[in-house]
Amino acid sequence: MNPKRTYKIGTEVKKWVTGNIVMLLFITICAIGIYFAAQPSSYIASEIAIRLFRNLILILSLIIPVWAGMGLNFSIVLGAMAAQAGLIVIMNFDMKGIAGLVIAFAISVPLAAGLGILTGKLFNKTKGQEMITGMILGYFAKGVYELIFMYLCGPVIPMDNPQIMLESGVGINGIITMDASLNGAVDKIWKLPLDKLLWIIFGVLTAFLVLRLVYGGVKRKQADKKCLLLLGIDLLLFIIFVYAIKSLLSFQILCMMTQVPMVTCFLVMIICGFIVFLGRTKLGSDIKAVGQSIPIAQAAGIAVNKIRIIAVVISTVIAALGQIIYLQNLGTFTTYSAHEQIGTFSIAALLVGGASIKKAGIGHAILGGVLFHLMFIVAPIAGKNIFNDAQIGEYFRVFASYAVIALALVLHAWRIHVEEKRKTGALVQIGKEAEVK
Amino acid sequence: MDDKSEPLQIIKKAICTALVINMRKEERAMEGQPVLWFQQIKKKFGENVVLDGVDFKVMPGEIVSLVGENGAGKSTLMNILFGMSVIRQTGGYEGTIYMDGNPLNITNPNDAIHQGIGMVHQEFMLIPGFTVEQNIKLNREPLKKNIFSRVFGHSFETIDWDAENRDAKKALKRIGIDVNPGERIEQLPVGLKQFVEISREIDKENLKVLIFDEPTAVLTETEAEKLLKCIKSFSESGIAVIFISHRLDEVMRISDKVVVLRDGILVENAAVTSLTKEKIAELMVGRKLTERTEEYPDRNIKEEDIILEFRNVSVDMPGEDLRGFSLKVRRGEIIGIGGLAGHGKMAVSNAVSGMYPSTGEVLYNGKPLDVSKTGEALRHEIAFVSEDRKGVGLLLDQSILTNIIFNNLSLKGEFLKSYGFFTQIDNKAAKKTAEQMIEDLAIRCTSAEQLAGSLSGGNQQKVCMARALIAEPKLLFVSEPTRGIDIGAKRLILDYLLKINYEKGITVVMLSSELNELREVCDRIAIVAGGRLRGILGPKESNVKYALMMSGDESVRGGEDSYEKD
Ligand SMILES: Nc1ncnc2c1ncn2[C@@H]1O[C@H](COP(=O)(O)OP(=O)(O)OP(=O)(O)O)[C@@H](O)[C@H]1O
Ligand SMILES: [Mg+2]
Repeated sequence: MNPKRTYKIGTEVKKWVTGNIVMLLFITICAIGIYFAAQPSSYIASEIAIRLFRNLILILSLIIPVWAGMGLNFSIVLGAMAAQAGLIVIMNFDMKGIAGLVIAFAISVPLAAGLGILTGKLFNKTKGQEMITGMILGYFAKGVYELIFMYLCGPVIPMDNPQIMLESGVGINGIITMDASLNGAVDKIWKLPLDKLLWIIFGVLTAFLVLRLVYGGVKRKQADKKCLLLLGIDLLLFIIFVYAIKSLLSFQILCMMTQVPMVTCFLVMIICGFIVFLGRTKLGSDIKAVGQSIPIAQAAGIAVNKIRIIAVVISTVIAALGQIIYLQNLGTFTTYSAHEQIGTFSIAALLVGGASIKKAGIGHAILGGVLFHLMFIVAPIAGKNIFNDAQIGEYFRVFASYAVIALALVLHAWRIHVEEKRKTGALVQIGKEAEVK
Repeated sequence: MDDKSEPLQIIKKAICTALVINMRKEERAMEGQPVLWFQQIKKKFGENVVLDGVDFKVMPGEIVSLVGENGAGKSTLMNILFGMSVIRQTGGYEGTIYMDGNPLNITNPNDAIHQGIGMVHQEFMLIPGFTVEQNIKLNREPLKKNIFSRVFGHSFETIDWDAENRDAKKALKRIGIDVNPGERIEQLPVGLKQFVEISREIDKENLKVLIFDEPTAVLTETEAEKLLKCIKSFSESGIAVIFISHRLDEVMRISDKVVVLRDGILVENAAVTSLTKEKIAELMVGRKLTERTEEYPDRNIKEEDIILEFRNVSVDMPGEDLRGFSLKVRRGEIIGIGGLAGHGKMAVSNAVSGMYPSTGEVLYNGKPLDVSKTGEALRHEIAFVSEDRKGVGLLLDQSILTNIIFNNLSLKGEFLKSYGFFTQIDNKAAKKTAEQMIEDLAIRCTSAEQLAGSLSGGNQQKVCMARALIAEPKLLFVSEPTRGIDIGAKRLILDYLLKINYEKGITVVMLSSELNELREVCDRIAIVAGGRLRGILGPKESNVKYALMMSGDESVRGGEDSYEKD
C-alpha cells in the first residue's frame, strides 16, 4: 500500500537475513541431518540436554570480550588449560569427589586470572588484532603447557602418582581417566527428569512475573506491558506443555529419558545471572563503552586498558569453570589436546546462535549450543545414511565448526568493507569501469 | 628534629602561611588569581613543532577565545590540557599548566575531569550505540549499591536508570533542547549531537573550566545563538570558558579576551575591545586578506539544458526530512541550496547518494537514476562531499595521498598505467597531483604521506574536498564546504569551486547554512524551509526576501526567472 513502508520492511528483512546467515544456514543443515538420521526425538533431546549443560559455560565465557569489542576470545583455551592443571593437581594428591573438583577449581581460578591478566596486557598492545593474537597465544600456551606436563612433571616438579604419570616417571599420561568419584561428580548430585523440571520452571516463572506485576513496575509502564506479554507467553507455553505431557506418548518418553543435571544447570544459571547483572553495573557499562569506541571511552575518563584486562580475566575464569564442568562430565580427557578444540567449538557454537564479532548475548549462546550439538548428534548417523559411512559425518562436524568460524569472519570482513565503501562513497567496480573507458 | 624547636617551627609555619594567604588575597584583589595559566607550552609531533612557547592566563568566569588558522595548534593545546592520550603517545609536551596557582599534573582525561575541566571536542565524543542519557552520564553514572558491590567494589554497583534519566533531562533542559533522552545517538542529527555533548559537560558538578573546540561549526545560526547564550550564562556562574571558533563574529561578540595562534606561536593576547574582526583575521594569517581574487566571465548556461532533475522527491532523514521536492539543475551552473539546519536542505544530496530511503524520481540527463543502488550516482560521475564532520568519509589511518587518490575510486583512469593485462597506479603522477591539491587548498601537513587522522580538523575537511575535486566529476554535491575552515582557507575553497566550475564545466550543487557564502558563488539559490522548497532566488536578491523565505513565509515567492533578471 504505502511504498515507503514496504521499502523499509523489505530492507529490514534483508538486513536480518544477512545478519543471521550463519544461523539460518546451520538450521538448514540440522534440518536435513535430522531428516536423514531419523533418530527418535527423545534420544536427540536427552543427548542435547546432557551436552548442552556440559558446554554452555564455556560458550558463555565468550560473551564479555565481545562486549568489550575484542571479538571472539580464542584465548579461553588458556582458561581451559588452567582447569586441566587444577584437575591434574588434585588427582596427583588423590583427592576425591565433589570436594576434589572444588579444590581443582580453586586452584585454577588464580591461574586463569593470572593468565587472563597477561593475555589482557598482550591484547592491549595489539588493539584491533585480538582474535589473531588470541589464536597465536593459544598455540604458544600449548607449547608451555606441554613443556610443563610432558617434561617438567616428574624430574623438576615432584609428582609421582602412578595413576596419572607415565611409567618412565617423566611426564603426565596422554589420557587421564578420572575415578568414579570424580567422574560426573557435579552432574550426579541431583538429576531431574525434564517434565519435573519444566513444572518447576513454569511455577517459578509464573510466580515471578505475577509478583513483578503486583509489586514492581509501578514506575515504568513499558516494563509493565512487557511483563504482561511475557506472562501471556508463559501461560500459553504452559498449556501446551500440560497438554503434551498428558496425551503425547513420545513427549512422555522424551521427558523421562532426559535427565537434567540440576547442579550443573544451576551453575549455568548463575553464570547467566552474572552476565545479566554485569550488564547493569558500572563495570558492564564501561566494558560496552570501550567496546564501542576506545577513544571516546578514553575521553570520558574510562581506564580503557584496565577495563579490557578485566573483561579478559572474567572470560578466562569462566572458561576455567566451564572446562572443569565439561571434563567431569566426560570423565576422561586427553591431557595434551582436550583444551585445543574447546576454543574453536565454543566459538563456532556462539556464532551459530546468531552472535557476531560485535554482538553476543546469552540467547545466542543457548541457541547456538542447542543447534551445534544437534548437528553433532545427527551428523554421524546422517552421514552413514546418506553416504553409507559414519566417518563422513564425523569429519563433517569438525569441518562444519571451522567453516562456521571462517564464514563468520569473512562475513564480518565483508561488512566492514561495505561500511568503508559506504563511507568513502565509492565502489571498486566503478573505478574499474572508469578505467575501461 | 628535636622536640623543643617544634612549637617554634609550627608558629613559623603558621606565620608564613598567613603571609602567603594574605599575599595571595592581595594578588587576587589586584589582578585576580588565574584559574588557568599555560606557561611556555611547547609541543612537537616528531620534528614538527606545533606549539612553541604558548603562554597565557585564564581568569575565573572569563571567556577566552582561541583563534588561528587550520592547523595552528588550537586543538593540540586543548588536548594537552585535557590529558588526551595522543599527547602522551607522541612524546608529551614541555612547559607547565597551573590551575589556581598549582602546577597541574594531568596524565589522562579522568584527571582532567576530576580537576573540573570539561571539554566539548572538535570531533564528536559520543558513543553512537548508546542513548542520549547514557552518553550524558558516561563514566559518571548514578549508581546503586548492592550485595556484590559491597564485596567486590564499586564497579559492581548497578546503574540507577531512573536517576540517570532524571539527570539527563535536567541537563538537557538547562540548555533548552528538546530531545528524548532514550534516543540513540546515531539516530540524532548533527546539531543535536553537539548539544548533547554540551549537556554532558554542564552536568559535571565541580566544573571550573570548560573548553569548546569549534562547537558552532556544526550548528545553524539560531542554534549557535542559543549556544552562545549558554556559554555566557556559564561564564556568569564563574566557569572559565575557552572558546575555539573560526566564526570571528561570534568571537567578537562573546569573548572577554582573544588569544591568537599562528603556526603554534602566540601572536596576540588582548582584550576583545582592543581588537577588530579584520585585525584578528590579519593576525591569524600574518598578512592582509585579499578580497575575491578572480572574476570569471559569463558562462553559457542554457535554461533548458538540465543535468539533474528532482521530481517530487521525499527523503526520510532523521532531523532533515524533505517532502515533495522538485528542482531542475542546469548544466554548468552553481546552484545553492540554502535554509536553516533541520529544515531538510541536507536531504537533497542524500536523495541522490541514496544514503537514506527516498521516494519520487531523480532524472540524470533526462534518464531516471536508481538511487537505491549504492554507487549508481558515482557511475554517472556524480561526486559528493559530505557535511558529516566526523565521518567525513576519510580513512583516518591512511595517508592523505591514499585518501585523495588511491581510495578515490570514482577517479577516471588517469593515474593508471596499463601494461597489457595489468594496470598499475602511476605513483609519480598521483603524488604530483596530490601535492598540487595540497598547495591549492593550503592543506597544512608535513607531506602527502602524513596520515589523515593526524591532521587538524579543518585540514581533514580540506582533504575531503580535495578528493572530490580531483575526481573531476560532471556533477558535484558539496555540503557545508567551509564548515570548520579558517577564513583564509574559506576563500581558497570557494575560489576553487568557481574555478573548476568555469574551467572544467563542472555543475556544482552547494548545500550550505551560510547564506553569505552561497550568495558569493552561486548563480541561483534554492531555499528549503520546513522540509519543502520555498523558492529560488538570485544571489543579489535582498536580505529581507531571503530571511522571509527561510522562515517559510508563504508570501514570498521566488521564481525560476529571478536568475535571468540579474
Ligand atoms: N597525532 C598527530 N600526529 C602528527 N601531527 C599532528 C597530530 N595531531 C595534530 N598534528 C598536527 O598538529 C598541527 C596542529 O593541529 P591542531 O589540530 O591543533 O590544529 P587546529 O588549530 O585545531 O586546527 P583546526 O582549526 O583545523 O581544527 C597540525 O599541523 C597537525 O597536522
Ligand atoms: Mg582543531
